[in-house]
Amino acid sequence: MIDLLMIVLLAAAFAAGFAYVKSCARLVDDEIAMGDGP
Amino acid sequence: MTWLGWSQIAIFAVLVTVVVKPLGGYIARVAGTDSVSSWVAPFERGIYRLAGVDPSQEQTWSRYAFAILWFNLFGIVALYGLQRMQGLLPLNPENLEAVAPDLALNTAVSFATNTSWQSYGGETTLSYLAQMAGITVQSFLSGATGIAVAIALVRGFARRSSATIGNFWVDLTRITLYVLLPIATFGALFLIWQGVPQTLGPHIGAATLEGAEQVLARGPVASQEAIKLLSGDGGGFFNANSAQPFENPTALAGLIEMFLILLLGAALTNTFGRLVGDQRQGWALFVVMGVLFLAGLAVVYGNEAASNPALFSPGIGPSGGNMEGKEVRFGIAQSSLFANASTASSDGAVDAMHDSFMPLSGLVLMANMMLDEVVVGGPGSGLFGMLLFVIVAVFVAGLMIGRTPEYLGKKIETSEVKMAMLALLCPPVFILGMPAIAAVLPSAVAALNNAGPHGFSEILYAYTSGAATNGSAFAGLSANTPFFNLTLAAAMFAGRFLVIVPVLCIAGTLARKNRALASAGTLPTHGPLFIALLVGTIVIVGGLTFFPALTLGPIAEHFVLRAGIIY
Repeated sequence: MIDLLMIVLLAAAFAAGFAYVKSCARLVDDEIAMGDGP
Repeated sequence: MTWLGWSQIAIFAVLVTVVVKPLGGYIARVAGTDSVSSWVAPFERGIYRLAGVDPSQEQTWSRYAFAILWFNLFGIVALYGLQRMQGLLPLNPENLEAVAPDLALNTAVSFATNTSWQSYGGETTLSYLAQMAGITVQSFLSGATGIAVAIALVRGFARRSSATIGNFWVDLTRITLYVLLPIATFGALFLIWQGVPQTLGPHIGAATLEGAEQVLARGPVASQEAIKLLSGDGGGFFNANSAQPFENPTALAGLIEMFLILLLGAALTNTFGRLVGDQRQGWALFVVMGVLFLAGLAVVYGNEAASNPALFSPGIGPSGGNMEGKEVRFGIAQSSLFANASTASSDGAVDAMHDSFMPLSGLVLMANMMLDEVVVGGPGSGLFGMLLFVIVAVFVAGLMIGRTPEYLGKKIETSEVKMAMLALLCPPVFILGMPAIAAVLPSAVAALNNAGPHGFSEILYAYTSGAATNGSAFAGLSANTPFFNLTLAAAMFAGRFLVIVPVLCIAGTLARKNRALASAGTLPTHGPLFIALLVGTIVIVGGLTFFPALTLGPIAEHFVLRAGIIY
């Protein structure tokens, strides 16, 4: 049971990690659309 | 301080400096695509075939980041499972039981993130299989991951109009095969020669001079010790880490262990210079690292060589320095150097108890970690941390003179500055926020060995070590509780991935840009002016962020110690 809880915590942390990558990508794309970039 | 002590430090500094150029050049070859070794190349190709990786297929920064996250998720789950099932698995001569769930999670996150925080004693907690197939394997892979991220960022600076920054699986494989494995193998053989055990046999008994029976723990130590130092991991086979004579048997072994700790972090500055086509840029970063390292070391060595006023004032007299908690075989200079090297890098190995250092020495050890571990830093993490500060420094310089910031011909714009600040500000949230919570929780305070500012330093050090992915322990904190295990795991996870993702994002945005030619208005980034600007940026950003917390801990303790109050 506690193992399951630990795996859930880990899964939540990595889900946040994947969402963080997408957020950074969106932020950078928005900046480039506004004129930042090459 | 003695001339002999400074001689040891000088020999060490020369040893590290001499190897920067040749090893940096070698790693630059590994970072490319050409064959490095004709007899290892078939293994490299075999790994790609087995894993279904097309080495010619490069990744965008977000795909590179996703690959790292998936790889680490798999690594953490595997290491967690190995610890939980070790009682059922072979190579467990001491019949050790399964590791408790919260401790297993803490340890799995710790080693996958290259932190190596240990809330356990290795010889009494982990089987040989868990040490070898879990801890040691993660030491290789987490070290290679850090170097891969640094190389991806350097490609961002070096490339023109490129949508990709490399292939994580290729970088991981090549760094492991061509850099970490050969050096770690030589390191392990050297340590065996010096007396470090390498055996799968059980612990043995010995009779003491008083006739009592003593258990001598041993195991496959040398193979773990070498990569623990080289990869910036630092997790000891034994509870006492490199203060255990079986991990660090001789003065020569100690010197080489410190050398291994800083080897890759220092050499990568030269790799950077070569890949961006101007080695002077790499030397400038190396000088910045060296200045900060020697300044911190001078404070640590000076404080430890002076007598502890709490001993001096009652009339005991000068003690020849603060010997409490020191590695007495090697003395104060070597212990100070080891502590400074270990915290300035991301390694975290210890051969003296940091809890027993004088307050201002403890401050330096914490500051080394708080400065995002850029004072040489770990393999890869030191270089990409330093490049984050470079972005901030050129941004500040641009603001001062009213020009668009540039570095190596790349315009530093909103995206890069935002990502650099994100990466630099995320660890402080955990370094400062979590001790604030722990300091008011009775159950957390009960885990401390000391009260007052020293007790606060024990908490602050623990979260600093975790969020900065260092892993060294101040000691004095009984951290094997569900609260500390889970919150430190969160700090380690955040300190690793909340930094790596923005770093890769910067790599991606920079790679898309063209490199402008230098003009009369370009700020030279290899000269003394830029070196001074970068040192100032690092110290001021670090100082402003952490000074209030340090005031509550080591600085307050420094002053009350002189008033005769000890905790």
